[in-house]
Order: sequence, then C-alpha cells, then structure tokens
Amino acid sequence: MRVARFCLLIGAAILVAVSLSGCLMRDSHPKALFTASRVQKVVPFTVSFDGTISYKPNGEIATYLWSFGDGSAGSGPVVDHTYVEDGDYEVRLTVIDRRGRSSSSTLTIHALNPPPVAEFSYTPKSNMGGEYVVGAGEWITFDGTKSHDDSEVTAYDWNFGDGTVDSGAVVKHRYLPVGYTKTYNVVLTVTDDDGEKSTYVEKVTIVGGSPCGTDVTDDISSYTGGELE
Amino acid sequence: MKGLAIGLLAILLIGAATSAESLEMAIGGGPAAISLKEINGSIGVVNTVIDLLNEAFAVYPDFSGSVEELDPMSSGFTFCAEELYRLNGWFALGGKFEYLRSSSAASGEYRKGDEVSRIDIALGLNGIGIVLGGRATFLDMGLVLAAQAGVGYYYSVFDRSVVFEIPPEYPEVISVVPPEGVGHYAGGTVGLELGISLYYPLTRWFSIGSTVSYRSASIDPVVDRDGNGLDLDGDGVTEGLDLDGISVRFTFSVSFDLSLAGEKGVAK
Repeated sequence: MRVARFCLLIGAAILVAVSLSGCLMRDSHPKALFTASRVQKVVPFTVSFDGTISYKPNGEIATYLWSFGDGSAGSGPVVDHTYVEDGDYEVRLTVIDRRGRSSSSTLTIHALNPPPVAEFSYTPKSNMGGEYVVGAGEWITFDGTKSHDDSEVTAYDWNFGDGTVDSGAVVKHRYLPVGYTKTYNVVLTVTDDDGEKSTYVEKVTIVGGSPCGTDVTDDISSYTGGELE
Repeated sequence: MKGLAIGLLAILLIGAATSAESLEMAIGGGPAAISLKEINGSIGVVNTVIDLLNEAFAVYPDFSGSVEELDPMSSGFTFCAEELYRLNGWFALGGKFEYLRSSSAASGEYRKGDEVSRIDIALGLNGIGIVLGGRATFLDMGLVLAAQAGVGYYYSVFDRSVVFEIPPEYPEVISVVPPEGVGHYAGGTVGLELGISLYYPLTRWFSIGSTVSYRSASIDPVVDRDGNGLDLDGDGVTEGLDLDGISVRFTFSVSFDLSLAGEKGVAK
C-alpha cells in the first residue's frame, strides 16, 4: 500500500510539474498586422503596405507573403503595389514564424473607376471679331467622339440649351432665328461602361438677328445634368 | 449522457456520504494564473495598434496625449468552497465550487484642440466551476500532504467594452482594429483539475493549509446572446477562453465525525 501511495504521489507531482510548465509557456503564435498608405483612390495608384508591425511575441517572423487581390503576389515586410484596374481587392498578408506557425490578415482596397472625359467640337463656325459664331438656321454638326474613357464611353447625351435634347456621338442641330444674337450653353454628358458620368459645356453663339443684342441664356454654375433653358 | 454521468456521480457522493468516516468542509482563496492564450494574443495585437498610434501622435503636429497598454489577462484570483467525505484513513471523495476572476483595462486619449479621440478598453473574465473528485493523503505526520484530482464543469462569461477612436489625421489604414462596442460572451465546458495540498491541523477539527492545483479547461467558442463569437482584436478570427492555469489557495477547513461510534469533532 505504501508503495502504491508513493507512486501516486510521484505521479501527481509529475502531473503538476508538467501542468505548471505548460501553463507558464506563453502562446507564441504570430499575428499578421499591416498598414496601407491608402485604401481608396481612382486608378491607377500605388499603395505601400507595411507588415513590420505584425505581432511577434516570441522571436522574428521568417516570411511575409502578400496577395494583392488582383492576381499578383509579393513577399517581404514592406511592399508597394500599383492597381491599374478598378474594383475591390482583398489584400492578404500571411506571416510565418521560424516554427512554421502562420497567421493572416486582410484589408480591402477600393480601386475606383476613373470617370470618362467629355469633350466635343462643332462645325461650321466662323470667327467674327475673335469670337466663333454660327448662323441662325444653319445645321451644326456636334462631334463628341473626342470624349474618352479608360474603357468605353457608352452614351452621349446632348442638351442644346434651346429646349431640345439628343443622343449619339455625332449629332446635328440647328438654332432657329430669334431676331438677335444669342449664346446657348451646349451640354454633353457622357457615360462610361461603369455608369460613371462626366459633363462638358461649351457656349455656342448664334447670329442672324439684330447684331446689337447678345444674351447668354443660362448661368451654368448650378447645372446638374438636367435640361437647361 | 451528461445526465447519466451526473446521476452516477450523485449516487457515488451519496454513497460516500453514507459510508464516510468524516465530512470536511473548506473555504479558501488566492492568486490564480490563467493561460487565456488566445485572449492574450489578441491583447498583444491591440497593444501593437496602440503603440503604433502612440508613436504616430507623439510627433504629429498639434496633438497631445497617449493611451496606456492593456495588461495581459494571465493572472487573477480564485475563491473555492469544498466539501469532502473521508472514506478511510487516506482517501476522500467530494466536490467543490470554484470562482475565478481576471480583468484588464486601458484608457487614454489623443487631443488636438477641441477634437478628442478616446480609447477605452475594459475586459473581464468571470468563471465558475463545479468539480467532483477525490483526494488521497500520502503523508500524515502532523503536516498532511495530499494529492487531489477531479472532473468539473466550468462556465465563464467574458465581458468586453471597447471604445477605439482613431483620429482622422492618422495617415494610414491599419488592417486590424478592435471592434467597438459592449459584449457579453459566455460558454461552458468540462475540464480537469489536479493538485497537491499541504495542510496543518490546528485542532482535532480545524485545519489551515494551502493547495496548488492545475486546471485544464478550454471553452471555445464563447458566444453572445445573438450567437456571435468573441473577436477581441478584430482580425475576423474568434477567440476562445483557455482557462488552463494554476491556482494557489489558502484554505481553512473544519471536519465533522460521521462515524456512528466516533466522537464529535474528530480531527483529520
């Protein structure tokens, strides 16, 4: 019986000693943590990622692996990456310590679609005293094909400032004589394949009435895309 | 299955009570070391973020203030009430109720003129355990040495209250930021406890002593009322409560003679 008790005591002591040592051992799992210089901008733009702040309670991190979410990857504690296509990208940093234990952290980068650029020209027009004018009743060709986008311009919407609208890359329009010189604000709104819109406004001066009177139809400072007039 | 186990243990205890030589009741308390390794890992991450902000705003124009770090939740205190039926000269069966508590808090602010960004974090662990087991006495020479082991059910509640305002002037974006809000997360598990006791009978019925015990119990996951897991550091990975650890308790105990032929108030 004494031998059994002694063995039990030794066993219990060993168990407690093992337990103590296990309890005192701190968890040494690394935890991935990083900063990004920015998370939202119109493409193209470059982001700097810094993984050196990763939590490393016991020793150094041996490997930093980056996945930038756009199919490309990198390694190293500090990396730069350029986003050229719009979209949401999940950046993932995986850190691995010298014992092979790993941890990951993610951050979403919002790469914004650049809006299209609206631009047009019109013909014919005559230079009269340093100002371009068009005769009343004359057919004018408005050409919006100079408008461009990183992808594709899908819609051209025109507002001629005289109460009429039209659509298409190239359109024709004429202003009826009003008896005096009048300036219209012609507004081109282009839309790209992502639904982003952009507007370009140019004054068109129509002559054919009294040469003395000149009137700018609207103040465009508050124009929001609706019809003018 | 749980019901069967509890029933069997109840029968065992009732049997022990009816055939016991003496009943020993003890209360005690003392410091406790708790592993909480996932929680402490998250505290390390939170402290890393706080360090980052402190370093940035220490040199940022027009800013003042800093935030203190959280202490790891690796220590606390424990309270215990125990009841043991001594079956013979060296072996006793019984159960105990154990309460365990640990906490950590940090606060501070970054100030720029009237603009104040506060960081307030308060964490608390409250746990109880009902442990059934036995104690074997190995040495009884005035000073009594005994080993004990038991199986128990541990239930814990983890409270989290976090305000974490990063000034908008901070120039970068951090991948992991502690989620703000208040949460109460709870869970239970079956665990194991082993220990060694050393006690000294001052009289035939009263003893003082100390116990060093190791507790092994891991609650994962702990969830709030809506079933959401605890994610202290905001890395998207939920943390469990690893209650593994050592308790050192200083106890007072009284014993009562239950034998039909015995005297009242017999010492152990």
